[in-house]
Order: sequence, then structure tokens, then C-alpha cells
Amino acid sequence: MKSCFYLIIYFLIIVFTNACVPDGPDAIDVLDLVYTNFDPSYDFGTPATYSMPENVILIDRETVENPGTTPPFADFIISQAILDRIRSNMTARGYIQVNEFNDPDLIILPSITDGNRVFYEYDWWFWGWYYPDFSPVWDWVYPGYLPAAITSVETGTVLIQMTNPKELTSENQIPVHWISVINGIVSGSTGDNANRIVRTIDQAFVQSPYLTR
Amino acid sequence: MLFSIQSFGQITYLKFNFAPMIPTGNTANFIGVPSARSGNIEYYMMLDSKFGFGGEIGFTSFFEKKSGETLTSGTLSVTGTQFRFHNLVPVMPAVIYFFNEPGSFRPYVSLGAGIMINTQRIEMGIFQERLNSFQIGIKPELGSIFQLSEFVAIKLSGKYYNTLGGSRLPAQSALGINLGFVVTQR
Repeated sequence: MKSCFYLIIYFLIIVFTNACVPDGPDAIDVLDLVYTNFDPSYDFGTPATYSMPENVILIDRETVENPGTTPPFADFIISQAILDRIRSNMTARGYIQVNEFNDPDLIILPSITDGNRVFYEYDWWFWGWYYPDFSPVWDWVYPGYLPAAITSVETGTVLIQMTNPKELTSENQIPVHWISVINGIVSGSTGDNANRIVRTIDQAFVQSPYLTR
Repeated sequence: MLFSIQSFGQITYLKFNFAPMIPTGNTANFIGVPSARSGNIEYYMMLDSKFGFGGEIGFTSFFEKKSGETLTSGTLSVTGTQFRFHNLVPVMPAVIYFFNEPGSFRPYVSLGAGIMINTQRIEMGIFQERLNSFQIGIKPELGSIFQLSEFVAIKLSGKYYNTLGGSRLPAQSALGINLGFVVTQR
């Protein structure tokens, strides 16, 4: 009888403990994450103009199979939501958008990953269709900081790189002065995804107050 | 023989406690929300009518959701909803002293010292940071046992857990209230 009593007590303890496990995320937007990093030696007040492509590319591999050809693009609604939001934030910070042929001080390159693992060192030639001076020997460099805190990102990531082709190094490295990684779970609703992207791009600029003229 | 234990009718107390905890100090800086997800088991063997020894093993799970938190480290900033967890598992031998002889109402004081196993976890988006740390801690307690029958009692007490900080985790502390079911054996 006594052993039965203790068994009941232990059973109740186990049930009670399991029943009291705290709840985790109950909606996918609470998993949205906004990461930014920047080059501390760069004066973001110096550049006045920037250019940006008219589409957001979809990176589904690490290298381009046919350099110079147009890469796949992200969903049009999502693409425009991203570009519009970057544009409005950059305008609010005092930067002027110009055509890529008008010698912009900065180039902003937004992309979306569609694979399970995409590294920052993705192929330059993804942008070969857009910027006239891109060279196959160029490489990304992150002066003053390393975005290596996250070495790979999951599906549903918006990657925004702010580059400066005018400061190409002798080793053919182009500085990436600012980077934003927006990570989240992709929902089935394009509108919902677009709304979350807009909100998180705003957050990327909010947590980057140095991005101003 | 270096010492001997006198068998004073060999009264033992086995306590199953519901133990709501209020974080204090560094623990409260990490999670500021009290937790009722907490319990412990104590066992004491009396050496005489007032003094005994035993120990405690318990479990407390603190949890707090922090929305829109921005973490900054150097040039890096990360914003998201944080899910913070902190589990405390005290494993502490203890001594107990009753202020009066066995009866229906027995106030007591006890002091435990041993190991506190800390597990801290921050979940943010798809990322997780986990930190485990074993710390030395003490646990003073003040309370009373209310004897309902020869073998059954209830207890009410207050405890304060405090640990020594280490390189991995600073000192942790929490205030606990114990409401317990006590099995007395003679």
C-alpha cells in the first residue's frame, strides 16, 4: 500500500511538471528576427546618392550557373514591398536614389534566400545583370565587422547589403558597409509576408540610427 | 567509531512542496516574473526531538516573453521576440531545528548548503543561446509544520536561495514560499 502511494505521488509530480512547461511561440511573426551590422570606420553622412535594382533577386544556390544572365526574381509583390520600404527609409534619412549609370555613392542589393543554407559569400554574378561594372573577380568584404555571428540563414530570409563600388580594394574586394538580415518563417499569405517584411525593414533602419546624412 | 546517530524514535519527515518562487537580484534581471512552476521534495531524519538533518531536491522553471527586444553588441544589433527560460535545480543537504517539542504546531528553522544547477536559455527567432552553470548555494528557511494526525502534516515556510557567482553566470537568488504535504514516520 505504501509503495503504491509513493508511485501515485511520483506520477502526479511528472504529470504536473509536464503540464507546466511554458508556452513557446504562438504565432509565426514572433519568430521574426532583424539583424544589422555596419562598418564603424565608415562615415554614413558622406554618401549622398544610392542606386537599387528594380527587382529583388532570389538566391537559391551559391553560384550562378550562367554568369551575366538574369537571375530568378522573388515574388513581385514581395519584391516591390521590400524596395518601396528601403526607398522610403533611405529618403527619410536624406539619401537620394539615382540610376545605376549615374555614379551612385552606394548600391543597395536586396535579395531573398530560397534555400536552407545561403552564405554571405554568394556569387557576385547574381548582380551581373544589374550593375554595369560588376566584375567576376570581385568579392565581398565587410570592413570593421564580421557578419559571421550568423553563418547560415534559413528559408525566408531577406538579405540587404549596402555596398560601395567606389572603394574597391586592390584585392578586388568591394566594401559592404551595412548589412541587414531579416529572418522569419514564410507564411502561406503573400500579403502577410509583405506586411511583416515592411515592418521588419523599418526596424532594421530604426536600430541603425547611424544611417543618416 | 567517530560518531554515532542516536535513534530517537527515528522520526522522519518526507515533504512534497508546491513552491512558488519570486526571482531577486541577477535572476530578476534576467526574468522578472514569479513562477508557480516549481516544486521540491525534502527529507529530514531527526537526531533528537528538535534537531535533524536531511536534504532537498527541487525544480523551478522561470519564463518570460520579451517582445521587440534589441540586443546590441559592438556594431551588431538584433531585434526580435525573446523567450527567456531559467531553470533552477537545488540539490542541498540541510539541517533543521524545531523550536518546540513534537506537537500539533512546530515552528522550525533550517539551513541548507549545496549545489544549484542553473540552466538559462534565450530563444529568439530560430536561434537559441543556452548556458548551464553549477553554483554553490545556501538556503535558509523559516517555517512551521502543522501536524494533522500522527502521520500526516502540512507545512508552510519561506526560503531564500542564494548562490555564489561564477565566470559563466553571476550570483543567482530567489525567494520561495513552500506549501507542503508532509508524511511523518516514527
